Amino acid sequence: MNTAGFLIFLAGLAIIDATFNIRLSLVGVLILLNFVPVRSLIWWAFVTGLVLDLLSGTFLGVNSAILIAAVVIWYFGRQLFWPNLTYENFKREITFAILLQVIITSRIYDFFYNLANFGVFSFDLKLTSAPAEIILTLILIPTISYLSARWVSKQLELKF
Amino acid sequence: MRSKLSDSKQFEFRFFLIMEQVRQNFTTALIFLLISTTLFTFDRLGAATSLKRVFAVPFEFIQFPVILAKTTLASKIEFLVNLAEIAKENQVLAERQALLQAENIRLQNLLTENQALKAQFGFFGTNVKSIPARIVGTSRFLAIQPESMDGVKVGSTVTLGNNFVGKVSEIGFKLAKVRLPQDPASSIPAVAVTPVGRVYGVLVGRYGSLQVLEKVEKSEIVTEGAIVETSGEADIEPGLVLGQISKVQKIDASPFLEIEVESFLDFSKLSTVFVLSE
Repeated sequence: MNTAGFLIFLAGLAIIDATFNIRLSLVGVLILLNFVPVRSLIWWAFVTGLVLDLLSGTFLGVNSAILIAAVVIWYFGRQLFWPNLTYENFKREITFAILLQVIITSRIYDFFYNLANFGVFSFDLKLTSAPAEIILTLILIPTISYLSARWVSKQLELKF
Repeated sequence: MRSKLSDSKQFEFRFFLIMEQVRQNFTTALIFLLISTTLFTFDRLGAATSLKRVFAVPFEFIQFPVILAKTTLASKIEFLVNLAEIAKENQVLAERQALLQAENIRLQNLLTENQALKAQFGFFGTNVKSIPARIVGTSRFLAIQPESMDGVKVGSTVTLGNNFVGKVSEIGFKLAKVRLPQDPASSIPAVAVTPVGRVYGVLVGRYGSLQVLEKVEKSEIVTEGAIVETSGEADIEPGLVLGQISKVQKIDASPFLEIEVESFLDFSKLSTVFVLSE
């Protein structure tokens, strides 16, 4: 899978996200943070966010800004507090870390989403969509890991 | 000798490294964040509506089958959820119905018992003690479970209202066996009350549910439909109804009439009877 492939993948997640109202793009972006270079992921997050804005009828730039912010903040945090944490090194820990990131960021995401679109300060702690996010994360992590490995091997012209 | 950096120093060092990364790599992030904010401001002011419409067209085209799939999926899930709820509700209703049925049966039993008690006390008055007994089995004998075994003895008369049910033939710890009038071993002194007078005989049982009034001479006038009751001999209360004459036959070889008596009671359907005690 090349850059266009990952972009299409994220756009697909955005479509499902807008249709089923699950923070799937966020899940995808946060998982990809562990597999692709952060610089690429920033502009992918931007495009995905715009697609999500267009599909969900929110103000342009809301989702893209939140996704980029999530990528940057979590990248910083991980580099600062646990730089060795990668999928290859600590599979169980990284899965847990991603789940935590998804659950926390989803709630913050909702806060900024409501603030930007409706001008309402509401911090909803309800975890109703958390089970769906957890299941999706658990499914997507190995999938993305596999796709990413294939992508890297192709870049290095290795047989996989 | 290499000096070891303290934890805080290490953290500080890592932080500076990251800041360096920020400077090098996150300019892109800042640019995109700036673009996003600008877009948001434009959109908020209503300046990006036409632009949104243009870009939304291809995505809406893609989104349509997804929405269709969602609607179908949602309707299927809703159906399944409702199905489970309906099944649950049905189960609850079935349970409630079973409870109501049980309650209904209990009340019917109470009603029957109440009616029987009323009839019993109305007929015998208070001098004769009537011990209510549940019927727990019906075969050749009637198995009964009296409320109290005090006063229940072999030979006690069992009645229902003013109907004769039988005589206690065996007593157990809590149960008693009642010999029915149809039993081949049963022999009850009886009297047929006819319009012209009282005709005495002995009611004996035959195999099956037949009762026959024996020892009635051919000269006696006995009509079908006449009531047969106990005569008061053999330690049985007088006036207890044994049944109704259903058939009267004259057999040439016999000096007696062949009188069939049909009981008013269906012993297989009884639920409560009374044991008479002095």
